[in-house]
Amino acid sequence: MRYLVVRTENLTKFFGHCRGVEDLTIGVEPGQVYGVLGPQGAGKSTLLRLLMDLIRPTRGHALVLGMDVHHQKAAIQRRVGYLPAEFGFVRGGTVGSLLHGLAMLRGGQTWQAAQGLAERFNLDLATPIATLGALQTQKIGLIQAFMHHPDLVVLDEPTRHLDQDAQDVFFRLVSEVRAEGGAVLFTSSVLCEMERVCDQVAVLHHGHLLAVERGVQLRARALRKVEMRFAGPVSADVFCRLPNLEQVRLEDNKLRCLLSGDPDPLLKAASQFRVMDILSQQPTLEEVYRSYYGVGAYAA
Amino acid sequence: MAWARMLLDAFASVWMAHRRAWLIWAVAVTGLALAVIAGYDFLLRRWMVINLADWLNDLQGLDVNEPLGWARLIGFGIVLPWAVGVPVVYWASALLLNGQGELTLLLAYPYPRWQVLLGRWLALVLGLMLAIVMGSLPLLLWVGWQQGGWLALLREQMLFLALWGLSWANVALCLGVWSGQARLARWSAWLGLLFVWVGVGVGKLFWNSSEQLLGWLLAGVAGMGLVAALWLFERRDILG
Repeated sequence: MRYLVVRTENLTKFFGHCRGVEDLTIGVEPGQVYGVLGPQGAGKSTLLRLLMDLIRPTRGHALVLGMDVHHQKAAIQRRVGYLPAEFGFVRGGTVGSLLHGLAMLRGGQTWQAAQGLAERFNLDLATPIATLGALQTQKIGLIQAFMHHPDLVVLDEPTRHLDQDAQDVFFRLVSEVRAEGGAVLFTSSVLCEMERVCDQVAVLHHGHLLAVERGVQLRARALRKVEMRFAGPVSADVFCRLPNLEQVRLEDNKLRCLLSGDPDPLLKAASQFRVMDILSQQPTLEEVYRSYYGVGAYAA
Repeated sequence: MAWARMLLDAFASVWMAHRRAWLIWAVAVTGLALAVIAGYDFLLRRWMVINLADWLNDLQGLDVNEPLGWARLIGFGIVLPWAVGVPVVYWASALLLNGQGELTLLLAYPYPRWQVLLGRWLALVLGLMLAIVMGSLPLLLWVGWQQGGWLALLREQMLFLALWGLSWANVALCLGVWSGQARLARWSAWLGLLFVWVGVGVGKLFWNSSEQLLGWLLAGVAGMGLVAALWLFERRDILG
């Protein structure tokens, strides 16, 4: 059997009658950045908690780094960094004392690494814990997940609360882990984050695996909402003919459409007219689900 | 080594999180101790106190007219189980059931769950005991000054009463972890602690003033309650 960093087979978790995830079978290869995409309630956090043995499966099983997540938990946790979706700190003291305590629990040269990461995230170690905002809390969560150079980093909504600078640092860290041969598994409800770094993406819908996409495919058909304003009237036929445009609507001198993948044909078609303005936006997750998979992200 | 490191972190973290609560508790116990000292002359002759003291005397066999008996019965005889039991069940159930934010992080570290929890529970209880002993110092000094032999305050039924508080708190904690409801833990703790003297009476009835036996029994319940709570927690889903 091929070695996979994470392997789940028919992993299922029910909370009473409520489905968390059902029959999930995924595999994360070494050196891979693996994304789990889905809206709130899709089962992303449940999957990660099952992998970290914080909750136990109703049926199916999971292997992390080739070991059983329940029976070899301690051995796995030594080599895995984890960021939960919801966490906080009840203790007092400063960020430095907190990170030092967490580094002590990891052992080795972790404290030096934590200091280095805090500097990269521009996090002041003298900040009192009691005054921490969501951004700084999330930075601490990320630092403690990366500080011991884990073979696998499992992150639940890592970019939540992060500003642009912190996101850039985070994505650089992910690239570094991949470059060193480690794997990263992270969840998000934002498609462009997946397009940016993921080698593979599992798309979840109400606890079921809807699709597993390759990162290159995602990037090739990146979905954008495009709005163009022209100086004068334009012909709808010019745009309707384009194969990678959907939902083309022409109102007055304004074109609205959903573009997937290469924007070049659209720009060439538009260049026949005088373009006054262009607006390109990320589609909502609902639009992505409907466009790619024909289901509403939140529909039952 | 790893266990020691974990325990050290537990102490540091619990101390930082609860230092104000422990201080408040120590001040509250000091207030109680001072009230007991002040009330010795004023309340001793009141009929309600005499009746209460007579009833307690039946159970405890202490002379309420002496400072030692007064301090043991009216002071910590009534309040000690509450002083121990209520904070244990509130703080520990918050740790196990509500305050899971930091716990979710720590449970992903390479230590068994029971070690993480036991470290924190021990730190909570030791801190609490220290707060109670520090808070009781005025009463101990007063008894020593008035009558001598203040060490007797810390022995016998004082230990028994502290054990009652602890054992009931752990049983309540167990119920809380089993049900996932901090509220159930708190209500059952209040209920159990309310009937502490019924427990004393039943104990007397069955074991004929063998407090040592009853003490061992309560210590066993406290230990088993904690082990069961940790065992249940080991199997519990941590939802964060």
